[in-house]
Amino acid sequence: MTNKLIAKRYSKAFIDNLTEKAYTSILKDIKYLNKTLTATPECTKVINSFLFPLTERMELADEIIKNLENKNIWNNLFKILIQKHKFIIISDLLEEIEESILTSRNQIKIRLKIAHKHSPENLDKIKSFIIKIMSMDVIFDVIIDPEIIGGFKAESESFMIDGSVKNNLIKFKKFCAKTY
Amino acid sequence: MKIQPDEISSILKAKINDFKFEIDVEETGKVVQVGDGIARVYGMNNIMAGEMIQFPGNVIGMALNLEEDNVGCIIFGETRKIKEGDIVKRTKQILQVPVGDALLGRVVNAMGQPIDGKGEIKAEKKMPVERKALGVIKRQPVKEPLQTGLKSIDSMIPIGRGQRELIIGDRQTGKTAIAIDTIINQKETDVICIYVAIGQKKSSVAKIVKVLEEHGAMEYSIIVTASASEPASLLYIAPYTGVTMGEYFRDDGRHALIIYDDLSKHAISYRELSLLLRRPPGREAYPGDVFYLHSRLLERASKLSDDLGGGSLTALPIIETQADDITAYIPTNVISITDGQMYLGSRLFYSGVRPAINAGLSVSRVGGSAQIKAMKRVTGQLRIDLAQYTELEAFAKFGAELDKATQDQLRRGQRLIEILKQDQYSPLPVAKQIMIIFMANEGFLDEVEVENVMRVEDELYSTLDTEYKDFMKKLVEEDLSDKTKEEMSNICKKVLRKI
Repeated sequence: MTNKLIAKRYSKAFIDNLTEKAYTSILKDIKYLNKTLTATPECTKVINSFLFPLTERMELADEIIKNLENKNIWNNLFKILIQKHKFIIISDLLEEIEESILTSRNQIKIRLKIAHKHSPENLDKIKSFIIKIMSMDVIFDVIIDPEIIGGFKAESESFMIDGSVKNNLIKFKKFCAKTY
Repeated sequence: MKIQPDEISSILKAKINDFKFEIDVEETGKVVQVGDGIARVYGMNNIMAGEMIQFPGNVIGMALNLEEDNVGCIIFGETRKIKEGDIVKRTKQILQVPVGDALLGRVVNAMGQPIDGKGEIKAEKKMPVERKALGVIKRQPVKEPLQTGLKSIDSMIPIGRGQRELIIGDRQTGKTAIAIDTIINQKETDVICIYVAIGQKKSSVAKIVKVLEEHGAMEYSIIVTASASEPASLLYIAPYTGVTMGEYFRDDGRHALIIYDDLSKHAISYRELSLLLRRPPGREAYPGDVFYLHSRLLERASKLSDDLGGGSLTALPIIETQADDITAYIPTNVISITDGQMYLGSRLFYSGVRPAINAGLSVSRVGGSAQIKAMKRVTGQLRIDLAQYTELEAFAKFGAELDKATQDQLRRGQRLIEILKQDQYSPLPVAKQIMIIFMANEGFLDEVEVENVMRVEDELYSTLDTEYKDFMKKLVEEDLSDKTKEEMSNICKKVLRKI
């Protein structure tokens, strides 16, 4: 978790060096990078490992970023991370950069957990309820999680809206224990 | 008793009907680092300084350091239950503790939770532990006395209700004993006592509870304890918990007395937390705001104006010195905050003067105006005589070679020292104190052998108890007239005749 704090500091520096015009393309790049790094998790380990020569690690990093729109910017960032042996924070860093850009645009990314698949109308109702509470543009990432039993749970980095059956059952248990 | 299934199901149905399905909207953060009683939390951008934080496993924390990218918190509970990555929630409340009459007679921890096994405390309300001290307009000068029942204190270093008087001295010099005697002496008064034990052994606290119970003092007392084995965070918050409980009674127009035993350990616990939170260390590694730590606490002791009910909160902080050094950092800080100090000397203590109050280094800056008139009259000469005796004490060994005036002063001083001695747990009513000091001041004891002074004292008290009950009442309520003085002299002569 300390990586999170380091990532936040790096993301601030990264954003300071960007113009607002570049935000959209950077978000696209982040999406691509996330996809690549999630598909090949060993890439991050290899790039951050001293077991491989620096030149080979640099080449691998170049391979990852070669199709990105802002190739030069990413190239510089990756070089710094590799040289400082901090490439391990890359996924946290991407998340932080994305969040910073979204915040500057009054947007927020939320993981919406539902217990099972809902009809589009129901899902829209839940979404509009969350948008009303957050009073900003919300980008939803819908996840099906049977653990919450029913209802919904919306999570972001600093907010949690919990309308799940699981949470209410826990509260009901406390409510009963309080009286007896 | 037979369990009725129908009854249980009807209760459950009723419970289900009463329960409302709710959606919780909470600001959250994630634990980045945890250990040594502190945690660093990522997120929670809108958190207030001093706000309570809910950790998993019903553990409460408090935000102390609001940094650029994380929040430094102290944890009031077991850190073992918390792990990296755990989600924490904002409560949007400053730390609160229960207050009210329900706490009287109870022993609670720094969070106000009972630890005496006497069941739940049904407190009337809760109040925030961190409150701003009252302004000037809401206060009035100290005017009523708070009797400790100790001759040397009530005569030379009088304490007024709403005053802050420091008890300072080395280890094992009787600091706690003075505090406990003062609590015991409030039995017949309307003063509610709060004893805050900071960093003490649990066995010591248990002993104090036992003593107070034996003397019937627990009925009007509350004990707040954060023992040595508890986290530094609880030691840090304990005095604030105590003062919040005291403020409730003060604001209610009643009188309360709070004892912080001791603030040296409180400063040490705050130093520990500050260093763990990586605040810059200053002198003796204490953080820069260690003065404010104690000044904001002690400023909450006050005497309210009559418009606000005239309640009072008197504070008796205790500071433990090292090798009689009262010029160390924390002692000088607290001396400058309080309205006076009673200094207990280890040499005096081991030479048999108990309470071991050093009259030269002790002072009460505001208590004099609260002293009752008769006491004021009889003690006028006391401090001077004692000071002269201390000056001449070194010459005592020359004995007969000294001139008569010096010998007289030495004789008077020895007897004054003798009458100011007092056993533990035996506070004395103020009328008796006036009588014995009068007896010594007027020279009635000059011809009595030093070893017989105690006998005379005992005889005086029993005579007063049996024959002069009404006179004792009069002595407390009225000023000393010539007639009263004459009667006092007659009593003294009568007692000496008996001996």
